[in-house]
Amino acid sequence: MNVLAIAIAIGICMGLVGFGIAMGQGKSLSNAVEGISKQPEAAADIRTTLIVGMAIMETMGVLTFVIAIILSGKL
Amino acid sequence: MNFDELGARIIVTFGDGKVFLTESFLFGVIVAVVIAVFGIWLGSNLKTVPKGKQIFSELIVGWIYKFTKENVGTGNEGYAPYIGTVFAFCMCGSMLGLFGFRPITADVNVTFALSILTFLLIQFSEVKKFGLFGKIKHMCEPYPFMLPLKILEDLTLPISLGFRLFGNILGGLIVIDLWLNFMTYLSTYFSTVPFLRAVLVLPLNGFFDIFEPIIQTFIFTLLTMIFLGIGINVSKQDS
Repeated sequence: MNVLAIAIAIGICMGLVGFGIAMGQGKSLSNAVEGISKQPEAAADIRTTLIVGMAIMETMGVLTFVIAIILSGKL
Repeated sequence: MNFDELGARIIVTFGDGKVFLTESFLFGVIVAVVIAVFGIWLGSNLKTVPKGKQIFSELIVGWIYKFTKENVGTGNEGYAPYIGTVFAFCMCGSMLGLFGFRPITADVNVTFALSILTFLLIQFSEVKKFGLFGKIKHMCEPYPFMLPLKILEDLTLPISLGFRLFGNILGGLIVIDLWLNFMTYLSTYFSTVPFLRAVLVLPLNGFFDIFEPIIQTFIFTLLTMIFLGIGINVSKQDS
């Protein structure tokens, strides 16, 4: 029972964080593409900001991933 | 590879095992020595008209100084050597996976050492610039009851910096290891030699050992500089 609960918890936390990150990154990418198409000369700046911002968003996933690893050690 | 602990393997123990050296300590020292020797070689024998290796070194140093100036603010280029050192060490340490070793930044001790160094640098430069009372006075603005929140804000910086770098590099390490295990399993259907491990891992290496370290190191140094700039410049306007 305990093992089952931990396994379900790992699945739920990774799934939820994937959902959240996908929403955030999709929104930021769509806005960045819009910005580049409106203002192609600012493409380099927008690209750098986009990559840095996406990596910061991914941090949430990574922290959850660390928690999932710690949890999976208890299975 | 052992993922049960968040640190690296212990390779040398002294006495009853309470004092020990880990794998990441050994590789950290090696990386530091290699970077130091390379840097001294790049910086030696400078001429007025740059030629050969001097062009490369001037490119790197100029880029680091420009990067610092853009993000910390004009007049604060004195922080550029620290930023450049952290950049080089962190990037080379994260790229050790290319040689088949465990990257030293996949050890929670190394990343927290780097992030606590950043934290101390920020706090000491604020205190040096405004004095202890000036810093406390700045933290009490706009209302004194916000002091605990400001302290919490300062303390969460090293934790988030350290876990961000650690988690990203460890995640890449685990994905590559899972892929290698899967390829070993698949190649047992064809022969006893795990030949599928050889070339098919290269795209993953390219992403997790080259692209990801560069991005994460960039973010680490960028956040360091942004918080340093906030601490130094915003306080200047208030006082």
